[in-house]
Amino acid sequence: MTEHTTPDPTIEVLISRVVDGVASPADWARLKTLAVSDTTIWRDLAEAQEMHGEMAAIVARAESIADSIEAPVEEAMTTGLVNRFRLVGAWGGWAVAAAVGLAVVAGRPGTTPTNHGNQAGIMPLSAADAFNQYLTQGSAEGRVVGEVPTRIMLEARPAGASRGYEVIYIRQIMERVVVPNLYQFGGKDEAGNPVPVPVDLVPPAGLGKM
Amino acid sequence: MNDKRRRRLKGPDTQDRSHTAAAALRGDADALRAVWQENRRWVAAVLLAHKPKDADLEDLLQDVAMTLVKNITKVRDPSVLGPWLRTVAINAARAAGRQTSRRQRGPFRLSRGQGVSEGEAGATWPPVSDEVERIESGERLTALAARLPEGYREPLLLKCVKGMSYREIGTLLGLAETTVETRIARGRRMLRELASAEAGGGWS
Repeated sequence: MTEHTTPDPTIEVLISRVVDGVASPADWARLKTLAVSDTTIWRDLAEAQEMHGEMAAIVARAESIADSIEAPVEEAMTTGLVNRFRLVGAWGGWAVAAAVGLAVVAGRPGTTPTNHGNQAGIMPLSAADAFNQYLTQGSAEGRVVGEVPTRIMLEARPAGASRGYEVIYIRQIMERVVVPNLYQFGGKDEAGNPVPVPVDLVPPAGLGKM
Repeated sequence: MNDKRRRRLKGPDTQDRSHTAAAALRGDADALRAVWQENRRWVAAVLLAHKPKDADLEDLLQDVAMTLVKNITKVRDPSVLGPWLRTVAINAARAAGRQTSRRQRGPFRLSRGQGVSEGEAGATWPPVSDEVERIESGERLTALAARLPEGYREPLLLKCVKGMSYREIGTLLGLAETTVETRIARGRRMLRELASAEAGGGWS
């Protein structure tokens, strides 16, 4: 195979082509002609070949290390999924709270066109009231375990014309649900995508026995 | 030579590589694996050319593989995947340079492949063989190659990767094929001269 295009190669290029196994018959002929008047060319060629062999041994060792390393595709995918589930976990309580809140607001007499009846005695709910009602009712039903006391601040900025600061933060609600099965992402399908695997939790010894 | 045999000897053809690269850029898991497998050998050579002596090649390869998986979707054009991956490797090697300068390494750490197994340990001492001598000479040469001018060391090491042509090296480095050939030839001559000077006039 000849891949070179240099029209008038120097001795070093000719030697290099021989080392790389790409010297053409014309290259060999030229090298032999030059070597008639300068026999050190053969010594240079031998040295260049030996050096290339030694460096190639180092590179071959590096190649074998490279061959043992695979692209961490599953790791990256699992990390992405975990992050997604963390987000869902973080906002799930809010979604429920919002849903309950919406339900409370939507079910409030007077908020729908069909509700034209007596509104006497029903106080309009604020967002805080609706949220508190969700906590109270959820706790009574056994769904809401409690609220994490720490609130996570996302952003704070001056409150514009009014005095003080506008703070964006996350409140975290702990909920409890009973599910028929638990799954974890421990396996992968033929495409390398994580698949859910059922988890069998064994209670610690002594638990569940009276 | 039939197509199957040619592929076994030369690897996937350009069109296959282009399709694989395009799929990898879309985040296809299998294509990502294939892209890494296709390129990891020359990535190792690039790391050898740029990493500090004490940096662990295996760690660096893992860093590059992770960066490839995480960031490949940011690459817009499959044709620049090779040069992009080379830049990732060079950055990883340079970052290792900054870290190793701050970190004290243990004096007895064996690099991969240099360990002597229990069975071999008592067989011959010192464990001198042609291969060991070859590796030691190669390591001395690689260290000497670090003294070559910028732009000569990397093509020289890339040419040692099995099956890598001047053209492929040129594509990676953004150089013409003839420039790559000239640099490799000059790099070899300079390395011979350095080795000769190191050995006190006569290279052995």
